[in-house]
Amino acid sequence: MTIPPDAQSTDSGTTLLSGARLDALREVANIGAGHAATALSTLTGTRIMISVPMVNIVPPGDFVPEIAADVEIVAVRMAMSGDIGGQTVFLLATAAGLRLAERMLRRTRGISPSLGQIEQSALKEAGNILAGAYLTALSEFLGMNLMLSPPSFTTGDSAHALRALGDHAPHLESPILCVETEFFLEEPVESLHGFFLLVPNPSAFDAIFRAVRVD
Amino acid sequence: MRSTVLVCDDAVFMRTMVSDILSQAGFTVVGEAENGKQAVEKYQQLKPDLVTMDIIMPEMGGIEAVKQITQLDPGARILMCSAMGQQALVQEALQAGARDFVVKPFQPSRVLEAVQRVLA
Repeated sequence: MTIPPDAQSTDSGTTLLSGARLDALREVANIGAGHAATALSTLTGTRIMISVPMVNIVPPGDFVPEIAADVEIVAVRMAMSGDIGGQTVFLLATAAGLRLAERMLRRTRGISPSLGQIEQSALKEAGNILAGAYLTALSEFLGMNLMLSPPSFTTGDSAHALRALGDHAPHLESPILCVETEFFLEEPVESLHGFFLLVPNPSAFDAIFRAVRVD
Repeated sequence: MRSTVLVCDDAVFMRTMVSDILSQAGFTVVGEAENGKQAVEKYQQLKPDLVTMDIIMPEMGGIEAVKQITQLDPGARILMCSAMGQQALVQEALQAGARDFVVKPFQPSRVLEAVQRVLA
């Protein structure tokens, strides 16, 4: 769901963000994406760019509508602690995940038949880098201290994979921040599409968005 | 003679990457360990010329492993592989006896430079 620039609230009564505040968050995400791209480029030995086409606030009760329930996905989850508790989830379709793993491992397309141990480890590392870069940018912007746990990996259709996140599954009691993330890779040129979700504990959501003081 | 290396990291992806960089540069990777405890055991068993050591690992972290390995062998040559933002831990590792460090994600050339320094 995209929040139109003039939207201030939803039917649920939760106050969402003005267009200016969403723009500010997208700017923060872009800074994080830049850092993540530099790190991934170093790691893979090829030029990687990451763009953030869209930053959405997904209201409570709704889930990431861009991802249909029966799509096979991979999810890399990390717990977030420090000034804000919650979790981050990096999601992408399994086919894209496999390709990203191959690029991380400097392999040619199609060499990895499935997501084995090493491919999963590569994706966890990619998730780690991405979440670390986004959260570093966010913590600098908000003046907060945010830390991440080691990553865990889940795969399956999206409904199953998200359920398998267990107690850490997005509870949807509060809005989540969904950062659409597009990877552009060179040699060979290709693009991969994923989502980074910031799922603050319900009590923490307000703290984040109170701190986004852009009017 | 080719220098021997023990690669220690909890992520198989990082172990593979470090092993590939070193093998391609002519080193012999004699073993891999996925936590500090295994690193200490394999160090005694394999007596490598060099150990590359991650810092944050389950069971036993890299700093404790450095302490135990240098106690067993004060001449041990250990290179720390740290993630960004772990400067304080790197300091602790150097005090514990590690010789040098590289910061992840690293370029192959940086790893090899550090390895040459440690083995010099």
